[in-house]
Amino acid sequence: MQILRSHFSIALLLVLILGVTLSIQFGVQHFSPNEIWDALLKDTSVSVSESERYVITHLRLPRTVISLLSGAGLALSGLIMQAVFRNSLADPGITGISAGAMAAVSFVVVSGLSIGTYVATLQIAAFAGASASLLLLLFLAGTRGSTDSSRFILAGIAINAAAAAVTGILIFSSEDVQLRSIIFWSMGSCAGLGWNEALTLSGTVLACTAALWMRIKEVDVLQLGNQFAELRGVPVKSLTWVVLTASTLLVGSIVAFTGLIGFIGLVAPHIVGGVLTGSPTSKKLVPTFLCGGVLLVYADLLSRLIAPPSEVPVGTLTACIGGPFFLYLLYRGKQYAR
Amino acid sequence: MHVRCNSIEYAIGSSTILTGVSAEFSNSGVHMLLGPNGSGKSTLLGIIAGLNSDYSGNVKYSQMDIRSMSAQKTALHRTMCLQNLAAPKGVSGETFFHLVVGATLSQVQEQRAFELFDPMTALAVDGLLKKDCGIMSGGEFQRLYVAAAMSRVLWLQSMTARSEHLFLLDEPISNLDPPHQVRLLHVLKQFTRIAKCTTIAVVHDINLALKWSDKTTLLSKGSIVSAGNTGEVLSPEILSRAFGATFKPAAKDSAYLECDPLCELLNMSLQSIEV
Repeated sequence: MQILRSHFSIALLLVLILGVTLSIQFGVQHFSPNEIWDALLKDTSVSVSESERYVITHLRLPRTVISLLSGAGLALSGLIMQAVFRNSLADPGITGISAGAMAAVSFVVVSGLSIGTYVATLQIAAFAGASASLLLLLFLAGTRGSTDSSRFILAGIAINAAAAAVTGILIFSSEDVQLRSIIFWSMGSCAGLGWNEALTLSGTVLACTAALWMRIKEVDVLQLGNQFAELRGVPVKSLTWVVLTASTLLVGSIVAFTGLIGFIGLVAPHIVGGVLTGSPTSKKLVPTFLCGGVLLVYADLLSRLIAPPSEVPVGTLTACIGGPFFLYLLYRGKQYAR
Repeated sequence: MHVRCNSIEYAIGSSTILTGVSAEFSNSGVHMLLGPNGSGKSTLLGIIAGLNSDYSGNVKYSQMDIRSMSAQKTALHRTMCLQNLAAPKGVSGETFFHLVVGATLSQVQEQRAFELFDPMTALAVDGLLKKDCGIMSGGEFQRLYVAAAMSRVLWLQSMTARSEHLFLLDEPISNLDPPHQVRLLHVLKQFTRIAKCTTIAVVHDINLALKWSDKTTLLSKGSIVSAGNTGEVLSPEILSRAFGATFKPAAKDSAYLECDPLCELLNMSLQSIEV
C-alpha cells in the first residue's frame, strides 16, 4: 500500500497508457498493435487498408482522446466541488450541474438554435445551462456544504428535478429524430465524435485544468472553511468564483459532446482519497485527473465489447458502477456520523 | 505589536452588538477578553482580526488601519484560532498543520523557528500528526489547532525576521479537560513571553483568567465595563456589575471567586417560571 501511495500517479499513468492502447485496438473491428503503428505512422502499408486506417485515425483515436479528457475533466470538477462545498458527496451529477447542461443541449437540439457552428452552439448552451444550475445551487445552499449537508443535497435534487422537467417538456415537443438524439445524449456516449470535437474539448480541458492548477494551493486552505481561508489571506470570493467557473466550464463542454456520464466526478476523487489518505486537495489533483481518464477510457472500451456489434451507452455503464458506490458512501457516512 | 480599537460601533440589522468600544492591546503579556454570553467578545475579536469590516470606527495595528491593508498583508501580521473550527474529515494532522501554518513541519524546523520554543512538544501534539482530524477528540483537535497556530506565529517571525505579531484565540480552552486547560494557558503565557507577540484570548473561566492573564478587558452588553491589570479588573464588585450576578470569594481570604447561584438573573427567570 505504501508503494502504491508513493507511486500512485505513475501507476495510474501506466494503466491509462495501456487503456488507451486497448481502446484503439478493440471495438467492432480489432487491430493488432502493429497495424495501429502502421496506420498512424506510415503513408502506405500492406497491413492496413485505407478504410481501416480511417477507422483508426478518424474514429478510434479521437474517441479515445474524448473519453480520456471527459473522464479526467469530470473527475477534476468533482474534486474541486467536494473541496469548495466541503461535502464529499458533491459531484456534477448530484448537484444538478450536468442536468442543467443537458437541458440546454436538448433545447439546442429541439429549437435548432445556432450561434456560429453547431459545435460552438452546443458548447455555449451547455456552459450556460451548467452555469444556471451552479448559480441556483449557490443561491439555495451557499458554499457551506459541510455545515448544511442536507440543504446542499436537497438543492441538488431540486435542480435535477427542474432540469429534468425542462428536458421533459423539450422531449414532448420534439420530433422523432430529435427525440432519439436527446435520449441518446441523456445516456451518455463517446461514439460518433471526430477530431473537431476532440480538439475543442482538449482546448477547454487543458485551459480549465491549468486555471485550477494555479489556484489549487488556495483551494486546500478553503477546504477548512471560508473564515479560516480569509485568516490565511486567501481571497475567498474571487477564488470560489474562479474555480467553480472552471469546473462548470469543464462539465458544460464535456456534456455538450458526450451527454450525461454520471458518477465519474464522485468515484474518481474517492478512489484517490482512499489511496492518498490524509492528503490535501492539491496532492490529489494529478492522480484524480489520471484516475478519471482511466475510468472513462476503460468504461468506454467495455461499452463497445459487452454486446458487439451494438454499443451499451457508457453513461449507463458508469451509472451501474457509480450507483452502488454512492450507496456505499452513504452507508459509510452513516457509520462515521457522530 | 500595539493594537488600538477606536470607538467601534457594530450592529446586525437593528440589534446593536458593540457600542463605542475603544481598547488598546500591547505585547506585555496575555490579554484576556471576558464578559457574559452575547456581550460581543467574539465579535470584537473578529473585528480586530479583520474578518469583519462592516463596523464604524477603526482598528490599527501599530498605526496602520487594517481596512487599508490587503487580506494577504493582514495575514502576515496576525494569526487567529477560530472558535469551534470543524475538524476536517480525511485530513491528517500533518496536512492540517501545513494548512494552518502555510509550511510543513520540516520546513518550520529547518528554518529554526522552534529554536526557543516548540509548541508541538509543549502541547503534546506530536503524536497526532499521523492521525485523521475527523477521528480526533474535540480536545485533541483543539490542542493541535492552537499548537499549529503558535507554529505559524514562530514561522512568520523567523521568515520576516520581525517579532511583531498579533495572536488571537477565540475560546481556546472550551473543549479541554481541566488539566489540559491549565497546561494550554501555561504554554500560552510562556509562548507570549518568548515570541514577544500581542496575545488576546476570549475565555469564560474567571478563575483561570485571574491566574493566567496579565491584562483583562471586561465587556458587557457591547461596551467595555473595565480594562487593565487582571487583578484590578476581575474584582467581585466589577464582575457583579458586568454579569448582573453576585460574585464573592469562595472562602474567607480565598482568591477563588464563585458566582452566587441565586443571582439576580436566575432569580428573575425563576420568578417568571413560577408566574
